Amino acid sequence: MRYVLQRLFQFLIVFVIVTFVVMVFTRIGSRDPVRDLAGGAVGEAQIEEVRQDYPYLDKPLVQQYVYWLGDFVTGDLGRSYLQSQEGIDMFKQRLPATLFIAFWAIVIGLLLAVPIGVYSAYRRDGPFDRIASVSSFGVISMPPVVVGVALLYLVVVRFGYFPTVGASNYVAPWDSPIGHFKNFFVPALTLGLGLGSVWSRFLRADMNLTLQSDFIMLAKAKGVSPGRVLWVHALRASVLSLVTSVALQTSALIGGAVISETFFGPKGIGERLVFAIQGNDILIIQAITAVLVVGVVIANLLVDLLYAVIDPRIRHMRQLG
Amino acid sequence: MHVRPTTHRRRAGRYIAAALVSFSLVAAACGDKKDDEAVESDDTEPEVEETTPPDDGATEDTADVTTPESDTTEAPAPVVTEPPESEFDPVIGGRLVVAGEAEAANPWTPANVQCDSYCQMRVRAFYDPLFTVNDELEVAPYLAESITANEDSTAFTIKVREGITFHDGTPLDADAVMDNINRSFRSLLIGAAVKDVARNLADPGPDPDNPQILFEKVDDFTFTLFTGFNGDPEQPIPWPTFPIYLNGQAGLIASPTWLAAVDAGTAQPTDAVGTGPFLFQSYAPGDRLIVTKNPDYWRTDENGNQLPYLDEIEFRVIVDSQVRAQALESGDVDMIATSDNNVIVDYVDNPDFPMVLQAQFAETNYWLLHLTIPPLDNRDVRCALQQAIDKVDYIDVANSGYGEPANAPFSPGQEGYLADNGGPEYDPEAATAAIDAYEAANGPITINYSTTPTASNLTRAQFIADAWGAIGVDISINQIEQSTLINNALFGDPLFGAFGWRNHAGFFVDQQYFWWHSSAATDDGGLALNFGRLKDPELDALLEAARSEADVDVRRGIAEDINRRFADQCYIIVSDFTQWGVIHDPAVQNIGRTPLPDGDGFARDGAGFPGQVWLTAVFLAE
Amino acid sequence: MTDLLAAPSVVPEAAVTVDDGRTRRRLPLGLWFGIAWLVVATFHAYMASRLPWVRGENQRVEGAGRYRIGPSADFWFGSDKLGKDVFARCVYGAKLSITLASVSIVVGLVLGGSLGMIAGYFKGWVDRALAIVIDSLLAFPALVVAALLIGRFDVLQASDIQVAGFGFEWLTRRWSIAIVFSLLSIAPVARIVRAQTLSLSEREYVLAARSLGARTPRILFREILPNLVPAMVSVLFTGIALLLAAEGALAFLGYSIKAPDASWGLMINEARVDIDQYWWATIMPAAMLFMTVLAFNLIGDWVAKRFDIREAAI
Repeated sequence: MRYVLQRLFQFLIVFVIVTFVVMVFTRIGSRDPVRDLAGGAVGEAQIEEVRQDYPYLDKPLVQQYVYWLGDFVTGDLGRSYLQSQEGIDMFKQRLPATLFIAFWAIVIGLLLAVPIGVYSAYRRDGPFDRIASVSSFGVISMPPVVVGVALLYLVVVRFGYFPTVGASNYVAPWDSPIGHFKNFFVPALTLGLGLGSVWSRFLRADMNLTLQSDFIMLAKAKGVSPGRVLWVHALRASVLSLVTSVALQTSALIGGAVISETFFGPKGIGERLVFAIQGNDILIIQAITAVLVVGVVIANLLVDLLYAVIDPRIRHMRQLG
Repeated sequence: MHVRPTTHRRRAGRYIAAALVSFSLVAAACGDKKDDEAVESDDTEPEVEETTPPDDGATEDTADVTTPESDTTEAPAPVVTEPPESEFDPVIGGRLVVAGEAEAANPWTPANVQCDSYCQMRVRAFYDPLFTVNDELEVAPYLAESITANEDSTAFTIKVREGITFHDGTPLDADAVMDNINRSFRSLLIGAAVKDVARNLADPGPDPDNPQILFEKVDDFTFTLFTGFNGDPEQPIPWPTFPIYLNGQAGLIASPTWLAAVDAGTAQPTDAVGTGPFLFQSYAPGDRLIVTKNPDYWRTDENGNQLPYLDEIEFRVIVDSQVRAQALESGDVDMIATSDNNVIVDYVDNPDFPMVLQAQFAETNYWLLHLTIPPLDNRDVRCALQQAIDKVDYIDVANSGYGEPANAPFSPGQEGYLADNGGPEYDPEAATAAIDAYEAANGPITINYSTTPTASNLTRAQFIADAWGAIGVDISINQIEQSTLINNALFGDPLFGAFGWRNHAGFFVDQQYFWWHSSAATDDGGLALNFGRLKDPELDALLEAARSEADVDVRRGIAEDINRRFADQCYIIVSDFTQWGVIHDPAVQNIGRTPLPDGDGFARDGAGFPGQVWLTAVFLAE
Repeated sequence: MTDLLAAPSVVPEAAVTVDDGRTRRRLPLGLWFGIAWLVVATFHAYMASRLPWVRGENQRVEGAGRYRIGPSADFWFGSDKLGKDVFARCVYGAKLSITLASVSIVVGLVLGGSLGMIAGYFKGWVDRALAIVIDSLLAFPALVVAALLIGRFDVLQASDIQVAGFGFEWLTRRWSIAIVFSLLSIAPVARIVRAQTLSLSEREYVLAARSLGARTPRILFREILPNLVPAMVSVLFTGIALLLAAEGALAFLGYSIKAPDASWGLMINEARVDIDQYWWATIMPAAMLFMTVLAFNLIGDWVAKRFDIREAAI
């Protein structure tokens, strides 16, 4: 328990540092944060309105941060004057698309990684393993932009079925499963390919170790069928490290989702963030990065907790490494 | 070596095109000035908020503006054709999905929305304007019943229709309209356009720096507005074309109850409440706006059917014009508007997707220059920069070879358009010589070129870098976000040397007054809508004369002088004229046939805001 | 692991050291490819202006109808919509991309390496404090922060703001990108170096040196630093690969090098919408980017395996 609190505390510090630094970044080169927030070319009346809503913007940065943090933790996620929208509404609108892209990317990644990783480990150095190893290395070396271009050229342009660059649209799966598939498949695949490659290599390596361990030998000696040994005993032992790897990719997922959304659509939080950066819509930038950081931090925290619960020794090793 | 031009262009034109379009962007301000597209849009267009048509029939003594005849040899008369009648009977109901290029910035209140052409299409769903422009290019009453000018066009009496209510039940009356005008006419952007409307200096209201508009209320539905040079009621000036301003954003009327609630913070400024044919339903900025039929709309068609016909409209924002076209072809949307010639060229005579082309009174694409900083304050340098541009080559690169080179910020159909205004032609040798001469005396030239970082605008930037580089002018390309870029221009930042822009739609030269008059050009550091800081006494005098000139022919002569002055001084570096295509699924019917309330013709689409169409009487055939 | 820096995680292949015999036989092929590609690419990149087969003069193709020419013997990669030779632009773009990535990773190695060594060697509160710094850096959504910073640096450069009498006119995109990439490299490098230092500082020879009374700087620089070299070399190569990818992503968002300079990401972004009309202007730079990232990864990965540096396989 002490360990958990300690980690929690540490993550809180990380959160504060990161969000404070992001706030400072938004002020670089700014003549007047109030004018930035109001949206640039607006009249005095509108600027005055912003000043009344956010009177703290002319205070020292640390004070501004305290005000902002107070607002953030009490659920006030700021407002975009440029788009006349409350931060919270913006999240309601944009977050689902991003979450679905990430979700399907993870699903695609796992669907690729588990069979490939397990079979590669089982037939180590066989032809399949070699092909898988070379191609996964190749895919890992493909920047998201290159994957996007390749998919655009190989899939989208050739098969008229998918919306092209930037035209994907948010459709909830419960409204129209087909529409959802059409709009989310290519963006999710853009991310999922890379994730799958990383995970398959990870899983293969981990299972190689597992397969040499005593309990597997024992299971084999006891006459458990090879398939069962592989898919049940060995895989189960490797699941934990796989979960870790998935969680550790959270922030990679975020960066990938920004690219993917901008490339193909649908319009999610990443696209909105880029737009906010371009207009220096400061409260929206702060709100989105804060939420993203919370996501990354929570994923890491969960992994740690998982370890702490399952195996205190691993926890200790992880701390070392 | 053998150079094989690729010929197989598919529907997507080139993205580039977008670029040019885009420059025009939505600028912040009213939208019409824009330079490259906004961040999000790739081609946004701006539009001027007020356009001008001739003046309306209602003003009795305003000159009647008929379509300018081509009495001057060079000015072709605008071609006025009545939109074709639909072969189908109107279908009640249905849902239309429209896509345009850019989101409007800031709230949807008429005074503060930064309204470009796609915005103009959308705001007409929930607001009605006081006036509009009819097929004959005359100002026609819409929400207003009439406008009457006094003898010298220094006072305008507006009568509002009776019996109309806003969506929230508030009745429409003179007070409601005066409240709207008092807000709009004092806002940053519209205020600059109507600076010669008299203010109430005796009772300035809460903000003495920005006094209230001077009204004289006649009865519950009638009031009078006055002109006054720079707002001074003691200096009335004749302004015969003033009513055209009430056709645009300045004439949109929102519920005063809702506006008060917005002020008080109890209503969202995006949840628009007007008198229009559709009710605001939901809004996701940057993505979509949904409006539903107003069952109690005050208008019917000529057979007595309730307008509008459609049940619901979804307006989507798809920034890239090629993508927008692909969305149309795939059936995701029913109608798109674009000013990207690369897209338009694919729909000329395309049997699958009809296109309504708006090629008149449109904007001009050009490079805006900061005229007070060296070397751009030098006429020879500016004209050399113009001579360096091969417009035909530019159109090839950026427009799929489709489009018309421009010679001035006066497009065909506009008052003052000249087929030949004497401006410099493409002549790189002369340009090089002029630059060499200047550099010999003043040292090497480097020009700061600003652009937003979209692919299309970068193409334009690279083209200009090559063209100006060829005559010995270095440019430093700065990629800046749109809001910063506009601020740089508004405040005359030193970083602002040149950038691509699209502007100057409208019918009358008077509509360009506040872009070009020195009164709108403060010094660098101060906010100026005359972005280039164009201060030319000769132009000022011409603009003032045009504003107060009632005789159409005389006014056209003045406008042509302005045109020639621009050509002679090379104040801007022009490239080509925009044209707008509204491309739609064949099922979309009745575009351009929204009847006027008084039953005398149709509201003209794109009148002053090219790319806009009225959707009140549009229906979807079975 | 931040997005920019994490995507290509070549995880624990290296953990399995059992099959050394096979790996040794198999790897060189990829390694040779990587080295050959880099030699050719770097040679072109830095000698471009002297090579007769790389079109100079702003990479412009002359003549009417010079736009969008398909790949041919004269134009290996075709020409783009502005009539520029795509091959020449790819070559010129290589120089900028590779230089920026290399310079940034070297700065990252120096700063991150120092942090990591200090944290790993001193342990205790120093380590804990530095761990928080490193964790914070790792928690940044890197791509987003890079775009934000570069965008703000643009504004700063354009403004007349001065700090201690110095303006920011020098802060061009190249500098912005180098600064941001260096910042982003610090944490991943520090993490790896810290782990390596931790284990090295427990080794017998370090303990021996310490018990002989050697002073801390001597131990750090004489005993530990030399042993960190393989890890750092590995990080150098994989790091460059990651930063090249990151440059592509930034260009895509409009925050990389400015035209008319070229970078691969910029070229991809400029032409991608027209991929169905002239694929070469998009696919060719994408292929170059991919091959180069692959080459750096192959070399970095080989080094990591060869010296069994698990963590360095970023």
